[in-house]
Amino acid sequence: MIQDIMNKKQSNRKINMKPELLAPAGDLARAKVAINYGADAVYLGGMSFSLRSHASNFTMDDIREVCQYAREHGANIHVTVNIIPHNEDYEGLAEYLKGLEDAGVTAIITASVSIMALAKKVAPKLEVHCSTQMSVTNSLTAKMMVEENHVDRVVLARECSMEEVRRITEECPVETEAFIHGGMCVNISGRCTLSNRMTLRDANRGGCAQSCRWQYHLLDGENEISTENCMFTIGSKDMMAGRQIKDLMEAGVASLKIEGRMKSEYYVASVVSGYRHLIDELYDTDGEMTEERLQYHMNEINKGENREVCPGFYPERAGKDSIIYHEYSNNSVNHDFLGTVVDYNPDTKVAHVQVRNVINVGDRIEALMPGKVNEVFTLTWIRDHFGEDTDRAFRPMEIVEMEIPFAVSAKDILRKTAE
Amino acid sequence: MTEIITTLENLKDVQRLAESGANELLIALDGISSTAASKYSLDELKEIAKAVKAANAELANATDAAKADVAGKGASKNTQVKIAIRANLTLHEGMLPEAEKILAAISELDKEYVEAIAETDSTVDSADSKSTGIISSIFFADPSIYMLAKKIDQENGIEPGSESDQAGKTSMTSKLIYDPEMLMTSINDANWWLDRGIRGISISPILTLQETKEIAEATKKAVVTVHGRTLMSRSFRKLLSSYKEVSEEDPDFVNPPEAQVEAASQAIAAEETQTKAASTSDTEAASTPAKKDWQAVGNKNLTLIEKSRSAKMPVYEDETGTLIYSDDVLDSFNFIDEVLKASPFALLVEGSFADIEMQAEAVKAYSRILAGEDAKTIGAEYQEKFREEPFDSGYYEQKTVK
Repeated sequence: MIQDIMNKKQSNRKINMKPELLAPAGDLARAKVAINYGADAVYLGGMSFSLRSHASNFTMDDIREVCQYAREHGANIHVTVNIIPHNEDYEGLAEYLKGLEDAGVTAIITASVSIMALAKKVAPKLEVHCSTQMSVTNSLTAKMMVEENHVDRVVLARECSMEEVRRITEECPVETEAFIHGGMCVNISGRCTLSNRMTLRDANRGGCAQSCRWQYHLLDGENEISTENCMFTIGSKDMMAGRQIKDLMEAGVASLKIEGRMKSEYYVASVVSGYRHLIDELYDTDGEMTEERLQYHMNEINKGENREVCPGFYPERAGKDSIIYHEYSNNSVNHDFLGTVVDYNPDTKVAHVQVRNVINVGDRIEALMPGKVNEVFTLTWIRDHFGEDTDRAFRPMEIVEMEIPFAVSAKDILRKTAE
Repeated sequence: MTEIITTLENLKDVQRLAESGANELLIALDGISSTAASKYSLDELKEIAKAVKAANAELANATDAAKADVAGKGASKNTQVKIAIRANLTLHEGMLPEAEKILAAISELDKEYVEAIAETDSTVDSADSKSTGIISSIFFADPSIYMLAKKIDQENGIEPGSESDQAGKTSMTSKLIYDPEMLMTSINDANWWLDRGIRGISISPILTLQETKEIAEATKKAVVTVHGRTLMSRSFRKLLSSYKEVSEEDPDFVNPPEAQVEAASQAIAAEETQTKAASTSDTEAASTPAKKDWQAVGNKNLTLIEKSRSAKMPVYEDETGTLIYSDDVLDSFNFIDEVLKASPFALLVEGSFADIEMQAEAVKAYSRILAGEDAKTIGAEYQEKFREEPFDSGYYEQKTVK
């Protein structure tokens, strides 16, 4: 980081620092996938003190293992301690924070001022990142968190415009982090108890029932405004800020964050890989990227996405195009993910592949390989797990054989091309 | 002594609320407030300050018996009404200069009041007024307000908590009450803020009675929301305007392609059954034809009804975004004795979406309880008087799950 700052002073570059790509992980497998596909850091939740209680969160043993894996691959691990705590939630917290420090965790992400202070006291090697739940939308709030609580990083609210990101990053005494992809709360983060009210599930302690995505009658007095065909909904489209990455990099944001601890391995691999290549190319070209290349990268990122997306608040205050108005317009099932490579024999060019979706002979298939450019091939034959030739593999998790004309490795992902 | 704070919807209600026993009137201001309650300009704030001064003069002149006649014997102790400011907007970078200007103006108004009262007004408790001014509290949610208050104190040469702060009451910092709505849920977070020299914290109205008491008792500087519609969600998006815009522009919006609807309906039905089964009541789907001519912004008449429920939740949009309020009206009559044992410094009666009669009577009811009258009896009288309202005891006895 210091070198980056030196470079900034000495060069005329517009992009002076390659930001961290921060990816989510719901379990060990997804954490490793994220790192393999180019994440500089992974954030995850422990068994306690974290939102997303339905994500398959990590035990302390898991955290130690993932820290070890991250170290071996030059990556960092951040742990969310982002519940809005009630009195009872502090039990065991100090020991937990110490445990995270001992496990080799780089940072915790928290929205509670007292947890920030406690972490600084009991686990001083841990960086403290001020969570987006604090809704930092101005530089004074960022400064207060630094001056009064010595946080090491400020995660900006998703409601920030690009201009606000630029100004806060410029004024903030520590580095900033910004969201670039994934789910968005329609409400200001944390400022919502719809779930509490309707289901008694505490949204700020990991129990969010996503009541914002339900359907509502809208009435003016006693007269209904909504219609049966299209009721009032307030669910937000996901964020996809591919087009804004260049501006975020030029603004000097230190970390670009992907949301989605409950997402699949395929999602993590596709999205992380897509952004990895985009960030690298933007840095290498100092932001001089053609529209064609940008579209290519955005298409790659979108291959892992199965929901409608918008650029959030970066270009302008999110309006009608950021809302899901019809329930049927969202959450389509993504059929692109065909399977995962189990092993590959370079002499025979035969791979064992674990099936995740229907694969047909004749399919044009793209291999997504960490650190490499994607390659495409046409499937010429399949042999099922009985060793019988077949035209179609359709049993989930079955191990089949197929020929792949270029070298692949275990865990590489195969997906259907858009052709 | 525990005070009563309540919102002010209309300037003309100052006297009524003061007589009912309100100690502080909570004023929302353009530029720093986000609420469905009426928002005022700085000029209007000055008018409110004048009205408050007049109300205080009336209170001072009235006999204890006369005041007790209006508001019960608790109100007889009320000789001073002050102003609290609701500065709860999440401030974006570009809003900071305006917020600073407003806070400086509030500080100035306060100083002018102290100076004027020292010279001319002998009808009020001058010792108290000199030290605290007319602005007693500033409720804030965004930490930048704390930073701005500190800056103004510095410019005024006041160090919060020091001799220059006159026992910690004249500085802007010492008037601050941290009120992040649903996020103040623990003693530790409360104490962190109180260590910064602020006046108090506002406990989130999503806690159980036990949790509320624990925080109030441990801090002794807590405001407890005891009555009214509480805020459930706050969005920076203009959700009502967006819905209106898209419904007017897109023909598929009202009449979506049938194939899409059919394809989605099965999945949606299955999901709804799973997600909502545990907590639904009878459906009361509105069936009147869609209303086309309606006002999205500044309309306090809009409500939402979740598809499988029947309760109406007020929804309100202004330039600060969209707010959704609780379907039920919180009342604390069955729990207030326990709350008061924890010595909160103030009780908040929210007046949004309530008429003045209902609000003033609520203030009066809690005022009487503070004076020692029986809470359950008073609560029963109040609920009987407003029996059409959907009263509810909030989360006092309902613990949310993770």
